[in-house]
Amino acid sequence: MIRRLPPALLLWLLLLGGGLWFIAARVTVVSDMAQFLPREDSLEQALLLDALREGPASRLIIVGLGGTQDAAQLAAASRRLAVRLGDDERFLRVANGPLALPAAERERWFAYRYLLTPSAPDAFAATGLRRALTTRLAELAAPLPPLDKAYLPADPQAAFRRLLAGWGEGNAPPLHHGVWFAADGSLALLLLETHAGGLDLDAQGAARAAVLAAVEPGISVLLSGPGIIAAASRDTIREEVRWLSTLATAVMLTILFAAYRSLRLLLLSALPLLTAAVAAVAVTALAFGSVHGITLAFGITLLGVAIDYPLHLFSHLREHENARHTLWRIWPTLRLGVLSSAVGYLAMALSPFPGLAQLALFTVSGLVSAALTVRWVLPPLLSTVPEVHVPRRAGGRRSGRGLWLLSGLIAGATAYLLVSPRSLLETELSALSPVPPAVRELDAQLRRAVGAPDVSRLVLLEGRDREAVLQHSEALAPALENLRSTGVLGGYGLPSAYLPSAATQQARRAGLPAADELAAQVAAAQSGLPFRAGLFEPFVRDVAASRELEPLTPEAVADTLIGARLAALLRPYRDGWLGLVPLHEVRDEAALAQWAAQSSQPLRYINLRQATDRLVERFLAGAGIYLLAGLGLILLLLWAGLRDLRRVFRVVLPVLAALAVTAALLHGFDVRLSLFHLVALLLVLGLGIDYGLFFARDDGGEERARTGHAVAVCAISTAGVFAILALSQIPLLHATGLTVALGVTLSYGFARFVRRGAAGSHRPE
Amino acid sequence: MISGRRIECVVLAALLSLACLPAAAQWDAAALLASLARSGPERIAYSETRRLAYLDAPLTSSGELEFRPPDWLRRSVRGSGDSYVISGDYLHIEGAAGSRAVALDLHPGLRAFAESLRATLAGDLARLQRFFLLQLHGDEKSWRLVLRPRDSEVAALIQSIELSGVQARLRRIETREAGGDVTVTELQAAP
Repeated sequence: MIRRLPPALLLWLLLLGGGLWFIAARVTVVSDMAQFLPREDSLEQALLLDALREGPASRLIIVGLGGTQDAAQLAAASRRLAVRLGDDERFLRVANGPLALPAAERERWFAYRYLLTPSAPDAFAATGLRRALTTRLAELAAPLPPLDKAYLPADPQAAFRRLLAGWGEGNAPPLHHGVWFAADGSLALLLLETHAGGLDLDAQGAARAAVLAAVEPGISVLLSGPGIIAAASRDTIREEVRWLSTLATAVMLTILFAAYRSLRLLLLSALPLLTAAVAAVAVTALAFGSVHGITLAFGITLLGVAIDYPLHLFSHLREHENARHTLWRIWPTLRLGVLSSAVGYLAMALSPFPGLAQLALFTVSGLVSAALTVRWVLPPLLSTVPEVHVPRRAGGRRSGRGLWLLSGLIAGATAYLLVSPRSLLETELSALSPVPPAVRELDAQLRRAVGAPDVSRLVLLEGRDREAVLQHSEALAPALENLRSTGVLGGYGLPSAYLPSAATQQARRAGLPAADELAAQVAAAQSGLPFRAGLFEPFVRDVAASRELEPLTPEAVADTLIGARLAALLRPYRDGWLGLVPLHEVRDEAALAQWAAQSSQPLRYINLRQATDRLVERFLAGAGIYLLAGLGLILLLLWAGLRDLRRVFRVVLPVLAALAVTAALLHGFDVRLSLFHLVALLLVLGLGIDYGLFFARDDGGEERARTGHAVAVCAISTAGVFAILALSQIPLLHATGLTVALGVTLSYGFARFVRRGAAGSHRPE
Repeated sequence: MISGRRIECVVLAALLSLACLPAAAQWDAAALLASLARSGPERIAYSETRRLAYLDAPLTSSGELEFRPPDWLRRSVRGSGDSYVISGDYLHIEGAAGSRAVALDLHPGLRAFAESLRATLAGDLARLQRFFLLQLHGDEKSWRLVLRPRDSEVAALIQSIELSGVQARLRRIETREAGGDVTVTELQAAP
């Protein structure tokens, strides 16, 4: 049996098996957007993106509790949820209200208050102390006594109160019944921080499940956060892909069975697809070291086109004819079609953008291997040919005088696209993200509700160690305060606000007076005020003790809540450290950029959103150029293959018209073209040229009818499958599905419209 | 002390026996608060004396209370011009230095201070009972309502708040804090 296998079949089996083994054993799939985008910009930016992905911002989960109008009930539910999750070791932080320092941490920070808070130059002299005591006396007399009254003897300057105030949340959500609520009072809010990083999708999924399980019945819960979104969208994609592919397969099988009425042909038609997928993954992984998730998801849909190749063969099968002969009849046309598709992508494969190059290589290797499978593997397996009955009318007989009409359509659609004032291209990075828009909208809503800091605008400080970064941060404070007071920005978060540099702490320590000196100043300040004699002895003692303290370092406070927040703003970078200063509510971008450019400090202003938008814009522009280059190559190839300019036009004009009209229709319906639309248009181009080539063959009679049948089955099955993809919630699949379904339908329609009766003798009927 | 406890027992016994009588004959905390409830806005002048452990001499102040049902209360201090508005879940402090809002829920002690007066003026028994254990002494003509914080954290700050008055009038508030500080607020009779 095996000896009788043709060598091509044997080779194919070996390659397929080897490819499958390689994929199972060696290929890793990555899902990091940064690897899909060009990253030559700066290492620093990539590193920053990494930090933001792994940093506390990525580990944040926002929880909204609702489902009842009773705010007290929601608050109670929030409190109980916080207690339950507080015991769960998956969570680093569970907050449903402002920062409450654990008692043990309070003690620690209190001891260091004179090193950590700034004080006036005369704060420890009689004048400054007198000022402080007068203020305290007024507070004691106020209708509501100060809540930190117990600290008064040890801290008459309220230094600890100032320290705590400096750590407070900038724009926290409103409090009702003791917990955070959304501004409209409909949701009780909690902020969680997971131990696991935002990219640890399994851990994020587990955290999500833990929250859902801990919420009591009768309370509805909304959840968001980078990790939650990533985990949820992975599940959504799996779910969607499952039912979409099931549905698409069913539709495809129905169409194919209706067309060929042969189970054997149905099974055989899957072989080129399977080969294409295996080859594409293996080749891409060999060339790039790994395969990107987007390439995989998107590329596989592009490979769906490979189903056309066996269909051309099947439709042309005749009774009592060896499949090899059938193949030889259509092979030149099929080859030209495959080559022109491949050439279109090949231009893209040479692009410097890793995402485009990967996608192109994936598609080219898939298409070529599918064509090779049709050429070498299918004919030997079709030794006994089932007769394919083709209705005669499938040939069509419309004579072509539509070329002028199509040229007009192209011109009209292009003019509309050029004239339209609306932006044609989608430059938001999020448009590439596989997250359904509804999920993104929920995230934005919850983020607004908790006033979660926008981390897209930052000042970066560089220093040789953390101490240097903290010193830069302190030096930056006056400038930032000035920008805030002039309204350029609404707020900022300096690392040194959590912990001053050791140098500053040492300077403060050096300014503290000795015990007897201070006691004398206190006595002088107190004279004439009703404070009891000796009341401030604890203060004198604590100041004296502070003179012996060693400055606190970020390492020393790493185990505290404040230390964790500080750690989020200090990142190792090359052989030094970076300080992150998040800026809130930036109102005057230009003024800020100018200030940063002129600053004498080692700082840099970064707008991540703008940076990513620019990145995507460049990416799209690049994709556009490579698409045009691909089109040029295709035209050259067609001219080389057909050697007849009029036939080239007959092949190309219908599909160009279809592309132009599809783009215009999408634009008309307010769809902005993303990378996925552009690549989908390239796919339509390949398909349309294929249809045009087959329609343009010089043949007649039965062969002409068979060609018509083949192209019709191809177009109907492709349009059907992609129309199903258009139902998807996932932007990538929706965009591809819509564009291809529309483009293929138009392309087929236009191609039939210009299909001429073959010149001369073979005119049918 | 002993006499106080005996009065409590008597009141308790009286309340228990009164519970069997027709509703019209009852006089209890609910009845008292119902009589205190203000239906419209009201301004009351006050004067306050505070004796603090930290100080050798008492602090005195005076001003005006303004209450708008159901839950808006302003205390304006004469002289300083500072005013303290308790509204909803927030305390707004307005003074020469500007204004700031403090969430009552952040500071249970503050919440207790605020509610002792606000809920009393609103005649809101349920609200008062949410934060305090209530003891009523005396009779309709001259009564004394002692509030003790339910919450242990608050109890560490406030020992008791004693409200006393004559018929449907609140006259005097005596606040005893845990450190031994005592504040006595006298409310003047309405004009």
